[in-house]
Amino acid sequence: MKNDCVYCQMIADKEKEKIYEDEKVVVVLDDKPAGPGHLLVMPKQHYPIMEQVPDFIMSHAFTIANKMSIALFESLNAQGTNIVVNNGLAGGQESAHFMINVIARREGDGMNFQWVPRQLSEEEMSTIELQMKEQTKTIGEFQSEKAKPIEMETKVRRIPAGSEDRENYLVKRFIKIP
Amino acid sequence: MPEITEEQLKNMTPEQIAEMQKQNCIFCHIVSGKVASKKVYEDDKVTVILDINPANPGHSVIIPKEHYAIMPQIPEDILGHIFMVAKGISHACLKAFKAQGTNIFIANGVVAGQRAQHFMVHVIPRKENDGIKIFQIPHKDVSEDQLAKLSSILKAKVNQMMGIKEEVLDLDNIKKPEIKKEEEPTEAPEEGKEEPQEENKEEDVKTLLGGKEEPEEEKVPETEKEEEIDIDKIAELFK
Repeated sequence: MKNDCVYCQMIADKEKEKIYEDEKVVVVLDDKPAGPGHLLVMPKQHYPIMEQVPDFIMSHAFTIANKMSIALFESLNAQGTNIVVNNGLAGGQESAHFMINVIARREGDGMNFQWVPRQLSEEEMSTIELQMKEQTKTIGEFQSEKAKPIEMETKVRRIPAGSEDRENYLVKRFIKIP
Repeated sequence: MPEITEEQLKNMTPEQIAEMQKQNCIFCHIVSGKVASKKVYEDDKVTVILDINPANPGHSVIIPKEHYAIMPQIPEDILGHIFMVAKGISHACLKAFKAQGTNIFIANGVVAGQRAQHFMVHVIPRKENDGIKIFQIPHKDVSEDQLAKLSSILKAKVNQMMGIKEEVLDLDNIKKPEIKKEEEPTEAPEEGKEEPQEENKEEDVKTLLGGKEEPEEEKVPETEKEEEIDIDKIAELFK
């Protein structure tokens, strides 16, 4: 938790009404929503931008975001949903706590997320393709597996300890039986 | 494309309809390589291509290889994978174009701006003063009453949804730590720490007074800072 972060304080505040909470993420209603049904999915831990969020929290947070999107469809009769992440100041991020916006959409709600396409030449596109390919080489197994071993390790470490207790307990019980 | 009458459509099995959707979906053709595209990343679950109508140079689209029309249809493992890739693509954008930020954008449904019958995630590199304002989320003032009403409706729904799933919300009501330890030794300690809301008022006071947990948590970003210098700069812009 960061003391000067409004959202960290909100997460720690037990009085604050939360739509959903688990050990990794918290979901709250935006106080100043884009429209009826605007949810914020936030990791509990303080990460300013998306690149700092561990992979396993990324996948979990977006799985929850998807469930929130389903909830908006089913409970508020949304006709569509938008999931938007504004990442970095230049990306329009307003607070230094990474969050996912899940916004219910209805016809004629006045929102518009449609961009104006830029005209790029074939040559420019090819250059961009090469630049991107160079940088995406590092994506893949390493990053997505980075999270999983951590969870596995804790399991591997803890389960034997627990099962030992259980065995001991059972053995004790067994011995007590005449 | 062969025309299909309604009569034929009625007689088709769901599998056949799904197959037909795939045959008519341009993004499925892009994935299979029948339609040319600028692929920047590919693995066994997703393909990432450059958007032909980009908002900014480097605008990429992550497409699951399997055909899903909207997000709720996607299995959790694939969904999780898509967003781990999205994070990687976002990082790649920052490095490749010296971008200072990114937007992740998903549209579910035509009303939300979805144009193709194939789910996709947009990753858009952003620079300061690049003139893109559409991702600025509007803020409206809403009364407390209205928020409370929305909150109760949504919470009821979410509780119902999550109650079916593994993630149990009302852990507060379950006071059987011994059984939990035996069944789920990995999760029990964490849940025990964070879920009880009323019992641990002492902890509240501690955290309010500048709790003990903080230094631990702050260490994590620091280690990442060492590895990734670009990110560090962008994150520091907030200060």
